[in-house]
Amino acid sequence: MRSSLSTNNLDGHFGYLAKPTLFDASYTDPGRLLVDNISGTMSISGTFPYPYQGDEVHHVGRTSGWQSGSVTALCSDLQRVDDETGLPYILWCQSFVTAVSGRGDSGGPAFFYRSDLNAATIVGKLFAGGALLPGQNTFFDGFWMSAVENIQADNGSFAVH
Amino acid sequence: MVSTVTTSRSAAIIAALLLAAACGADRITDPSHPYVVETDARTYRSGDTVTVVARNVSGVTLEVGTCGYRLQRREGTSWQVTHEVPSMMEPCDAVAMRLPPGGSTGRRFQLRPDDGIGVSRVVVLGLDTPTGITATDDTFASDTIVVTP
Repeated sequence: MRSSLSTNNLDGHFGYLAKPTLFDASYTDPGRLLVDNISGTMSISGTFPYPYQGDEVHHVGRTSGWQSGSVTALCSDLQRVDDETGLPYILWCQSFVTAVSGRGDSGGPAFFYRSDLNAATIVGKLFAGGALLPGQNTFFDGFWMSAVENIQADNGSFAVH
Repeated sequence: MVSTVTTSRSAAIIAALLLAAACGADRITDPSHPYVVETDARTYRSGDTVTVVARNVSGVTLEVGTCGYRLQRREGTSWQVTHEVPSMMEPCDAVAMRLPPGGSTGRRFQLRPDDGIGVSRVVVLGLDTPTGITATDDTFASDTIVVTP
């Protein structure tokens, strides 16, 4: 099979995460979204309940590609306002990672990465950005994630393949 | 009960603005201004809720976020930012949606005491522009509003 680079190779690899060919490339580089259709995956080795302060956490998203950064806020409570009802609510115990993210990355995996094993350990899901990067309307200077342990506490346990 | 009434009124205002926006969907303005940004009033009191709607008049489908605004107050000949969302502790969901020609996206927020009074404007954040268009705050800004004590 011939290898090719495309942004359309993200389906059909159940049990793996897409692995863009450029890691931590500039968020404005279109190459950040290219995935090799043969080597463009990383395996999933399991889950970890939550990150610790200072941990390096990665994420892969359809807008910002493959990025990583340090956990700089741990178990923070976020006051939010419901867009439809206007009523306030609180998101308990969320974690902030100082890694570029982008509009559309929401729902993507947050994980620890072992380069020697090419394996990802899922530690949570990205759901929100931080402040916009200077002059940007799409990319944030960080991201908020919900930890696996909290997702399971709210929604029940789940299997990761 | 008060908050329920306020919420219903705000929802009605947003619905009216979106309906008005849809009625003007085929009007395409200057290509360098792909959005028409309108507030629900020209004068507000500190503490009031502002509803602002951005309508896509570019003629092409654009990608937008569902959150984010920058409130600016005029000081001399320049605009100074008095409040901005998202920030680290007031983040936006990292979601994207497609906004077809004539479609609108809204923001709603409460004016805070430290936003100050005077002539201001709202810049809607999280909006893409058509390819080749260089965007500035002016691209996404409402007309001026007046904030009173």
